[in-house]
Amino acid sequence: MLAGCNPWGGYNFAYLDEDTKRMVRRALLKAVAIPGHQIPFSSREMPLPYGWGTGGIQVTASIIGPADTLKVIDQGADDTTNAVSIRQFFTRTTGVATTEKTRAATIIQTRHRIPETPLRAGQIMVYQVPLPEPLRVLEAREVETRKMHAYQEYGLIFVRLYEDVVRYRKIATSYNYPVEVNGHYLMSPSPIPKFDNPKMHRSPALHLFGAGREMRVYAVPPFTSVVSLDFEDHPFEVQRWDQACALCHSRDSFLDEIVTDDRGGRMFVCSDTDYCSERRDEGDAS
Amino acid sequence: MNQASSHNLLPLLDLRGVGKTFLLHARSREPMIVFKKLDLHLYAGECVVLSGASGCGKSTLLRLIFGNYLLQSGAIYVRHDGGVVDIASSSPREILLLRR
Amino acid sequence: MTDPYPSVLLCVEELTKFYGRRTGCRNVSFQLWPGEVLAIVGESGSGKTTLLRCVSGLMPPSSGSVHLSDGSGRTIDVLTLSEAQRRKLIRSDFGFVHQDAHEGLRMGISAGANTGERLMAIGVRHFGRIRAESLSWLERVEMDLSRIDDLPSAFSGGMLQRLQIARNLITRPRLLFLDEPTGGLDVSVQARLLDLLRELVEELSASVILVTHDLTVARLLSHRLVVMQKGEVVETGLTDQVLDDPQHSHTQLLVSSILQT
Repeated sequence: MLAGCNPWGGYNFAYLDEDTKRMVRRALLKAVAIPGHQIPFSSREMPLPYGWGTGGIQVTASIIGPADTLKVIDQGADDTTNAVSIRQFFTRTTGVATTEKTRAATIIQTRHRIPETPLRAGQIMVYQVPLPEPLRVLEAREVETRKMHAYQEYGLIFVRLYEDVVRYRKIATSYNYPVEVNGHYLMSPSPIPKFDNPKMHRSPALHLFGAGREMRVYAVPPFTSVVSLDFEDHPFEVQRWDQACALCHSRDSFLDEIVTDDRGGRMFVCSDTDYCSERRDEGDAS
Repeated sequence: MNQASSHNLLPLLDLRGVGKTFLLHARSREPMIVFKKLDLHLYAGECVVLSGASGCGKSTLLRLIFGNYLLQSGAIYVRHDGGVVDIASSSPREILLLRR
Repeated sequence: MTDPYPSVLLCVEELTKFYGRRTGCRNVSFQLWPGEVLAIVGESGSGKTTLLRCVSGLMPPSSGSVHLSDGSGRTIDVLTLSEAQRRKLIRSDFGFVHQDAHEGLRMGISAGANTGERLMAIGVRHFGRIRAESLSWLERVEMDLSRIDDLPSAFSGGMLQRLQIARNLITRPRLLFLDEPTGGLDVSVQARLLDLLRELVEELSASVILVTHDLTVARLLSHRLVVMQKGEVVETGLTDQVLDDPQHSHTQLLVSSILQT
């Protein structure tokens, strides 16, 4: 048992048994070897229901070690209920150090955002994924979608973009925006806003994706090309705001809209709490 | 049936020993013989009139020439493209080309 | 392999398909030339749909061969292609209009998307061009253009077949397979659809293999005819010749069963 760890009555380090961790790591190695390709894995029963991040937790549990520092965010914030619960879970089962600072973390588990602070080599992003198959909406048959990936038959994803342009005069998909990884596989980057897609392109960090209910993992290794799909006459664009963050005045980050009163008052604030507070600290210091 | 006087030129259409029999399987397999050994020549610029009693085979003859009916014996020679083609032994594609 | 028949488009030899002990089709051989419409007729259960699905690469036969001329003097052995090559061939060179439009269309996407999907599948990435081509083909098949963004689930049987035709023809396939294209449609709708097919086939000089139990459809659309009974070919020849002067007893039976209207 690790010193400083609060034993949860007989549970192994990071909750999963060693054989399970080995199985997940094998799957992750395959995933890293074939960027963007979905690898099936034997998803375990976790102490939280499907849809709450069981895939991401299993990936983190399989790779985390005593020397790691863990950050957990949900919608960019460290202090939401889910982020807090997951962080506590790992504290109790590993005793590993945790942090809210992106720069200090070695593993960052996330739901729905990539931090604004650029990642560096040696860091690992773990994404919680609800639906790993980007073609599922249009093609229900698993046998067919597997063949489509194998033969790079991706016309159907452009059908989805076509329908967007027809309905909204532009590609309206704003999160979970489909990408092409390493010039081959079509991947769903999890429900992160399309604003974050460019951050994955040739990123120095390792990106691991876990879907517990669907029992799939996939990966984007460091410095891999990740290109968002578009039409020649409707190129990919990230979201932009007219306002700056009300707290740190950033014009470059993803902003959340917060309703402040019942008379239509609202303010825009950075979704990434760590980035925002770091800027504010720098602002105070200067 | 009548025939116009022959020319010195080769015939455009030359039927030789044409025999046509219908075998109707649903009617006690009794063969219906229309022609046994029909000969007919047609030269360029000629007009031949086929006349006869109803049921003696006038339309059958036309259809045989057109390739609409199959004949059981004999040949139907047509001058085409500088050569001579036998409709009776032509493939469906050749007949389609000829019809144009 | 150099082409033994320089002008033949498709050569089917001894094609056989068994379903367990049941015979789908047996020792079927025929050829198709470019620009030709070949009809395969017979009663239900005669093996014609089985034959069509085997020839078009949708279903593997038990034995036999299918050779497709690639247009530059060489032939492709369709049945020995890898699955990737076969799928690519079907996508680029073949069109298949199913009897049941639900099999040939995606009901969850708009008519325009259905029509344009093949363009996107072969790599066209310009929305404007995809939209323009879809509109153009929907107009060719005489569909109401205001319905381009509607879902096919709101379409009538005749409209669904027109949509299938547009969807398949947009990439100008070299070979078009039609499986009972007018089956289940009422008579006036059938007549209009047949007119459309006849015009399109002539306009595009398309090579077509058409399966139908309706001899009137065969007479209207096809140059040559193959008559099937119990999985085997019993007669073949020029359409008008086979229908007007049937030699085989089964053909005579089929022909005499046409209701005189």
